[in-house]
This record gives sequence, C-alpha cells and structure tokens, in this order.
Amino acid sequence: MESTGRQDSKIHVITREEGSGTRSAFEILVMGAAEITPRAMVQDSNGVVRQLVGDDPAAIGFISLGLVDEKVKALELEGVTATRDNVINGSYGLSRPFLFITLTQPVGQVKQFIDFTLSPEGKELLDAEGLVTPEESETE
Amino acid sequence: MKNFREKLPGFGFLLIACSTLSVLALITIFIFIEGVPIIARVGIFDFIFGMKWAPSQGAFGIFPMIVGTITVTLGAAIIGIPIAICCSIFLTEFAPPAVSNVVRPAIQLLAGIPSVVYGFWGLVFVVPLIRNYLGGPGLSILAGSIILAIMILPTIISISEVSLLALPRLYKEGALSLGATQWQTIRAVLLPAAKSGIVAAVILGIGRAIGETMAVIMVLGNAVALPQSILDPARTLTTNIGIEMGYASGEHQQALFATGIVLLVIIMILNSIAQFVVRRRNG
Repeated sequence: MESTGRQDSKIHVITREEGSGTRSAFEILVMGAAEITPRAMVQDSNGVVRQLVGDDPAAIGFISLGLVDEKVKALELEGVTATRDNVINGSYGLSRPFLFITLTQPVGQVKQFIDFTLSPEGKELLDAEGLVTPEESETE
Repeated sequence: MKNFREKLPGFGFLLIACSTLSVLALITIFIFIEGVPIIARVGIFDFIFGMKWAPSQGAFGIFPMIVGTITVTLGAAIIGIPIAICCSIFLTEFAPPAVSNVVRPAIQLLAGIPSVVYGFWGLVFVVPLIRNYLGGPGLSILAGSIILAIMILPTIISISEVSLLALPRLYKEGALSLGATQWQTIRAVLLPAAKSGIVAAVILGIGRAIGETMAVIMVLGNAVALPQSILDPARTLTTNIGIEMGYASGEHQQALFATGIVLLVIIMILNSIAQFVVRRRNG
C-alpha cells in the first residue's frame, strides 16, 4: 500500500471492456474462477488505462508490457519484475500470445507481412516496442 | 404537359422525403431483428431489471445502465437547464445588441465542438478536479453530468431564445405600461407565455444528453455496477454499446442491439412528448 502514496483512499480498479483480449488473458491468468468486481471502471484501450493509472495515485489496472512507460509502474509478481527477459525465461508468468489469423493459407501481401514480422528486421521492431518475439518465447 | 411539369418537383421531393424515412425504418427494423431474440431468451423483465451485466457469463441485465442514463441526464439537466434559460432571458431581454451579437454566435459555436473534444477536456480538466477536491476516482456521474450540461446548452438556449423572441411585442408593452418592472414582466408575463417553447427546448436538450456517447465514455468510468453516489463511475445505455461493440460477437452483440432498442424506445417517448408540447402551443 505504501507505493500508492495515499493510504486513506479506496483503490480505484480499472479494467478493460468485456470481449477485450487483454481482459480475457487477465481473467484466465490471474482471476481464475473469481470475477473482476463490477465496481471496476471500464476503459476501452490500453492507452486510456495507462493514462488513468498514471494520473491517479490510488488506481490500479493491467496493460500489455509493450505499453508500460515511465508514467506507470509495472508491479513485481512473486518477486519477479516485469521485463522482457523474465517473460522469455518464463519466470514472469503473465504472458499471452498475439495471433495472426487468416481465412486460408496466407498468400501475397499477407504472407509477405507475416514473413516480415518474423524477419530480423521485424524482430528488431518488436523488440523496440517491448514485445517478445516468437522464437524467444518458444524456448521457454 | 404543363401540369406534369408542375407536379414533377413535388413528386421528386416526396421520393427524397420517403428515402429519409426509409433509412429510419431500415435502422429500426435492423436493430429489432438483431436485438429481439436475446430479449426473448433472457425475458424482457430480466433484461430491463437485471442487475448483472457479464456477457461472457451469459448475464444480460441492463438496469444499472438505465439508472446510469437517468442519473447522468438528470444531473446534466439540473446543471444545464437553469444556466440555459437564464442565458436565453439575458440574450432576449437584457443584453445590448453589441453584447448579444458576440454571445449568441459564441454559444452556437459550442454546438460545433466535436463531442470527443468535450470528452478529452473533461478527462484532463474536470476529472482531476473532482478526484482532487471531492474524492473518488474522478471518472464519475458528476463529471459526465458537467460535460453533458455544457453540451446541451446551445440546444436549449437557441430554442428558448426563439420562443421568447416569438412572443408578440404587445405582451411586454402591455405589462410595462401597467407599471410592472422589467423583472416582473419577464417572470409573470414572458416566461409563462413562452413556457411550451421552453419545455420543448428542455426536452430536446435532454434527448441530446441521453444520446451522447463519445464524451460520456471518456469521463464516466463505465463501471457496470449500480452507482452509490454521484462520485461513483457509472455506465449509460449508449456507452454500453459504444465501449463493447468493438469485440462483441454472438449473444453479446445481440444484447448490445437490445440495449439499442431500449434506448430507441426512451428517445421515441421523449420526442413524442416534445412534439405534443409544441403542437399544443401551435394548436
């Protein structure tokens, strides 16, 4: 509670809307059978959640690691800090895959795009955005 | 031939008018086709008075959002209506032309500001003020009411001003020549005479408040629980659709259309009341 810097306040819980992928990942990985309180504020993007948590000392929420910046603090999980390395080696347990989905086998520009994401150049971009690239996480 | 030429434009305009109506009909039919099955499955009573909204668990109760819509709109009305009516009285009775010529277009400019700008301003200015001085998370019914109150000002001011200006000069001159002061004239003669126009203005303003989505999403907090105070976050019917439509599918999507049906019915009732009030004045 010390880290909130305001002990007299209720905690302002911020979650994502029903149907959000970040929310369903959080529900599966963290909440299990429990339910996110209906009193929680609901926002419809990672960016707004970050903005609100950054503005309000009593607020807590969840966003993708790639969007964590200096305005907010990512909490430690069982003593493990939220970093790319800890996600890759599996010690930070809250991770989920992003999926490309196509109707058929990818061809043409779609295939080129997917190949680009997996190429060294694409990986560099993903790294720069704080995301974990496929091969690295497969090794876990 | 000449007769035909005379009738042709009338027929053309009729077609265009009908096409507008058909859009309304198509939207209504579509919303009902999408939304009615889920209302039938959940039961109309459980849908409207259900306390729990959790589409992933199959719980579709929109009562907290109906309460949210009513409280936010009521709050906007309480803040906005007195300001708007005073403003229209000022513009018609007190303001010298030099002042009203600046104030009037400025108020109309308010109507031209995109709602997302109101929402953003609310988020960075009103919400922190409420959080720091009144407590709670800041995103709240109060924040939504303040933003909506500002947004409905131009509607209410313009229509009440028009209805005050439309009064025969005789009313005012008669009252003044009987020795009434300016304030007595406004209070006892002009306002009662323009009452139906002002009521219509208020109802249209409220209709605007109920329908507003974007600005409200940004400042209301959108929690699905029943709010306990005006400093609690809440969700309205419109924001329920706006915030969840992006990823909704299947029954969840149907339930959002069903939310739209409830909203449509509420707005239809309000507009009918406004029509009725205006007709009574003219009739």
